[in-house]
Amino acid sequence: MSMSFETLLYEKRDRTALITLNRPDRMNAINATMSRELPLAWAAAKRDPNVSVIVLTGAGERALCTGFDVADIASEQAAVGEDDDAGTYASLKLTSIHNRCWKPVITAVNGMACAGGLHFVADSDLVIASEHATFFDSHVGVGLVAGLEPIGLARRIAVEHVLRMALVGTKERMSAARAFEIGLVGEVVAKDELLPRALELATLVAANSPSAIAATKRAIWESLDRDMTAALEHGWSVIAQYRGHPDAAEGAQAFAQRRSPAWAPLVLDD
Amino acid sequence: MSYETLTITHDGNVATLTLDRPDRMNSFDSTMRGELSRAWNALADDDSVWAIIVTGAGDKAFCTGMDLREPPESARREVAGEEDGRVHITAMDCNVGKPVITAVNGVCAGGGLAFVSDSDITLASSNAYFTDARTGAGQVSIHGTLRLARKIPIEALLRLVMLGRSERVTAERAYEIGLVTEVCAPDELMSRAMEIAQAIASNSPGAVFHSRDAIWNSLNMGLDSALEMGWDVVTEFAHTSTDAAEGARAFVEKRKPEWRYAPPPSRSADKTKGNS
Repeated sequence: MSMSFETLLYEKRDRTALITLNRPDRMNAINATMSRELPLAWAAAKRDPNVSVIVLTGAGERALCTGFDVADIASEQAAVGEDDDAGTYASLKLTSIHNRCWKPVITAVNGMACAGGLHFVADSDLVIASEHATFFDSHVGVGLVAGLEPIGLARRIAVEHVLRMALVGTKERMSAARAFEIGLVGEVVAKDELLPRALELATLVAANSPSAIAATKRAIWESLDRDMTAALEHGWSVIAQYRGHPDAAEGAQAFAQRRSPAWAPLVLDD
Repeated sequence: MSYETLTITHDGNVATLTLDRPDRMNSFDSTMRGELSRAWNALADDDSVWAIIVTGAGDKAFCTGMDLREPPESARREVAGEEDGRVHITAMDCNVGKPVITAVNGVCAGGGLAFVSDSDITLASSNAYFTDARTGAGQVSIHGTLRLARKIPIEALLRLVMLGRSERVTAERAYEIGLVTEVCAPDELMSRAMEIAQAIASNSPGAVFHSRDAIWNSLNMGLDSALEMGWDVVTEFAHTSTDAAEGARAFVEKRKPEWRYAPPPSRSADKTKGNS
């Protein structure tokens, strides 16, 4: 199944859904159409039991995404939210986290990740980057507050890196090599190897129990929203709830019988 | 006290707890889980113990988590301390409240990661690596994992959890991302761990326990409340302990201070003993 969008490509490769931000002539910047289409793409990946992993990347070699299209902002065309929640944080539906998709997400940073484009990095599980990729935040240079992406990033890396990116603006760009050093990305590869490697990682992730991964991912992300005692309380309740899951028995049986496990399909619909 | 699956040795004010099932990669079965809980409580209550080193026997494995080969009838028996449905294998699980130096002497996998997530200072042997195959066995990866989310960049943690056996974090990468703060040659690991433990044990035990406690507790609150809490801990200790006066006198007199042992705050005001 592949769905058709104006600003995105949505393709299935085995158990992987590949979402490509597809406005390469505009550095894959987010316009009103893209912000309408992204939630549809995440919903499709969430609901498809044959999708275990999502890979997100940008078209072309220049950028993953450079944020909201300044041309749109200049013409005051609203890029987010046309519904009841217009103008609220809840109207921001760009990423897997915004769309409550607990399937694993691998972001392949194929060029610049800038400003609103950093949402995709902040909300990703695994992040790999092409050697020439850069990370920076242009908000303050165009008179905008960098008030969301840095909050997400500050849970991923040391806060000085985040402050530096938010306050210095476009005069400094973090290289892929530096991003690897500080743990913002887990791997840096040659640009031709970026997508193949992301899809390979997706296959490796897909070998594990989709339900165990989703429960674990959700527990980890939600733990960031709680104090540690509450996070651990919640974590133990997830462990207790999961004990009867068929994948737990299947995993043990497959191990004993030295075969690959057959995991239960996972549909997320909330 | 004697144990089947652990070895405990003492050197001055430092105790070393060795996970001692090398033929089973120091994985924990129900016997070890029961013994760990008993050992941690004994170490917590021993006034002569000011710092604790945790390591694994042999040079292959530190700990590979739950022993999956334990026969089900034995694995399912009740372990003292697990009435709350949780395992209590780490110092933090058992509310010990004393500094723990973890010397990762080989592979550390799955539930074994809890020893690292709950460690204050972690050293790895250059041949050590970290991996988590739990999701590949159909298990959630939560014990150890949620605390690691506060210790290392989350990308590195999610790689471990989601890639399962396909991901191995080497000692070198572990050092880069802050999972460990020192990598040693295998034959120097224990002497280095002992050096650090003795350095910690040369400081005021009460001051060390309270500092450690304040730092971990601060992760439990917003920054402003954490700083208020910290202020209370600092002033309370200064008013109730004689160690600050002794520290100043010893400094002036150019001699070693004689500290007075004070139990860790987690033990003296212990309302949640045994619950991590």
